[in-house]
Amino acid sequence: MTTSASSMDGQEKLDQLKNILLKDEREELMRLKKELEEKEAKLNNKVAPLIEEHIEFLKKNFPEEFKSVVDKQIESKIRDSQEELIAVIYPAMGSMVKKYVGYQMALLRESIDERINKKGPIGWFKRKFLGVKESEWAMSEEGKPVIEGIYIIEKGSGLLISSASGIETMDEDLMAGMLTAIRSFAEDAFMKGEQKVDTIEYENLSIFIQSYPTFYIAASLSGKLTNRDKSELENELLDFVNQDLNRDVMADNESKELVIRKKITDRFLITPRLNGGKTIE
Amino acid sequence: MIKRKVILTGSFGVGKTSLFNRFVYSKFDEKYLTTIGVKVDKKSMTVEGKEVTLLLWDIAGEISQDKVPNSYFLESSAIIYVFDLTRPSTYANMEFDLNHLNEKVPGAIVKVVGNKRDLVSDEELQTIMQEVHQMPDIVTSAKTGDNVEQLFIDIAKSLIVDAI
Repeated sequence: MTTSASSMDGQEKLDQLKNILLKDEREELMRLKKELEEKEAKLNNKVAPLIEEHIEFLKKNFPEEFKSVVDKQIESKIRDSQEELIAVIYPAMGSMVKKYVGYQMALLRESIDERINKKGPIGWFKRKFLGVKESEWAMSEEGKPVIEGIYIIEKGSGLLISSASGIETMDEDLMAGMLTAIRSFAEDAFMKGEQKVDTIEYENLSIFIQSYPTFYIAASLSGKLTNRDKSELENELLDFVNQDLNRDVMADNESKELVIRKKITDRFLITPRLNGGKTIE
Repeated sequence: MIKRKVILTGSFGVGKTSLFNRFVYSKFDEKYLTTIGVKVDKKSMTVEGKEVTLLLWDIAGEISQDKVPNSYFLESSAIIYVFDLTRPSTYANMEFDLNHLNEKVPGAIVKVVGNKRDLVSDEELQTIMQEVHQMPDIVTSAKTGDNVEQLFIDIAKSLIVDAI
């Protein structure tokens, strides 16, 4: 106890001695600090407006002042990274161009079709005498969408009855299910009454849908469909249903999938030798 | 071959999609569930010597709400109604939901499934069984896989009987 008390006394005395000896230095330090703060404030008052002014100037005149520098930088960056840029831009550009060309072709064919339909019933007569050029006629015929697959799907359940496709696709049962779900969703969300979804388009692909009493047929095509295409495909599908999907075929649960697949292939798809689709007749 | 549409339904977060993912390799992204409210998966299996293909429609949203398009339920052969054993709110409306489903899809086979078995003890399970409107046909755990395969085999067997 005695040692501790005497140690505290010693500390207090040391602090008092420090206060006495360093008083002048502490006062000088405080004075200098105050002087420095005042000068800093004065400097800020003078410099801050200048900086603000310069920033405003740059905001207004950046293009003129730095255009050449930035242009050079961009040019050199593009030059140095051409391959990377192409890799990034090409797929998007290609897809956009393809979509645009497909859309314009469909519009062009639509307009030719309109002129042809207005002018009379016989194609040859129309072409020869009524002002539809051979080139226009050929273009109208040439740009037709290609059937890539036909799917016959049970209404409601979305179960695939049969299908055939000229190209490799994902699991066809799943496709039939999701197609039914998407169609149901669109009809529930956006349609009223008896309106039905008849076409789904994505970029340059079209899915044309025709409903019959117990099933619907979805035809997937590459290319845009014009009204004439839709009408022709509608007739073709109806003819197929009447001729090939008769009651006996549909009732045969054991072999209908295979039988119908063959009928679809024979009627709508080119022989396996050519491995692709055929255009709408 | 027997091919049938099966609906998977129940409240949000009961583990429907996890049950699916345990059972099938999902081809479609989960985003379909949030965009159009349904995702279709497929499972083929051989049960009692017969090939059975189930087209499984995983439907998002509450059954009792009108937000789920009626057409999603059309022509379903079976319905899997899932509830969460750990959340009473998911089986509180079971009676109403099952009646609603019976009206929507009359004649469909309905399997009531209590999921998340791994999160409840045997004693808790006994208590839950006394609280639910209808005893579950099967109790599963999507996490451990317990009884998941069995659930789908049971459904396939029921569908085979139904097809005869």
